[in-house]
Amino acid sequence: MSEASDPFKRDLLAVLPNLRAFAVSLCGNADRADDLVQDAILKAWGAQDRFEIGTNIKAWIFTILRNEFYSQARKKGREVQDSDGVFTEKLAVHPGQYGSLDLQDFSKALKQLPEDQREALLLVGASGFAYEEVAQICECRVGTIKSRVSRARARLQEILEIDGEADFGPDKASAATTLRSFAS
Amino acid sequence: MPHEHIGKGLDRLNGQKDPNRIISQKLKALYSAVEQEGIPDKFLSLLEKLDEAERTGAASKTEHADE
Repeated sequence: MSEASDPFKRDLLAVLPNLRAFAVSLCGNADRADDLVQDAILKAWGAQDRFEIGTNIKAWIFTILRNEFYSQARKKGREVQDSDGVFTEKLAVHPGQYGSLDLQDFSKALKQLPEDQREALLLVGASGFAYEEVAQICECRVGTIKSRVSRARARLQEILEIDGEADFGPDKASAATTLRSFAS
Repeated sequence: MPHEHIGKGLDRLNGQKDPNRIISQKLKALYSAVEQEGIPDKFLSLLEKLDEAERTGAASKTEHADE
């Protein structure tokens, strides 16, 4: 690949890994996630005239991908919310994508959350957005995001039966490495 | 939020029993698993094509965006 001379392209490339991780975690299906990412890239590229360099491109493209996710779900008449977990087993990610069994369990638990709670938790807890930014991305109030995140955490604790007895298992090392890069 | 504060070494060990911290760590590990795959080639070549189309001043940019 040639170096990104275009600042827009450069910035887009910089956020792509995190955007893709968000897409995979949001829809729980790697292929569909990549379709979403591709659509988001195309939409963002087509609309780049409306984007001001130097402003928050990350929040902007996440908004595009999120809108795309919901509009595709509506178009396909797909029941987005899967709180019953009916489709959960079918929406498998690529086998072996998540190294440890522990992470697979976590991924399954995440899928049991209502969409709005899952996206709020992902955006705040893993994509590194501030509550205010997430509120903008999801077009709702900051208080709503805070409440969704806290409900998501409470629900995950129930599902995973986290009662304070931490079991880090095999991800301990990788989690520690990752944490440093997300620390801000 | 205090739970979002990421400590290192001993801090992390001390926080092991904090359920929110456990969830945060798992979330980040999950992301990391995807991020470590790198950017798929198809996205790199897509951006390459878009960039090229723009540079040649073609109107194909908008065509692509409508897909």
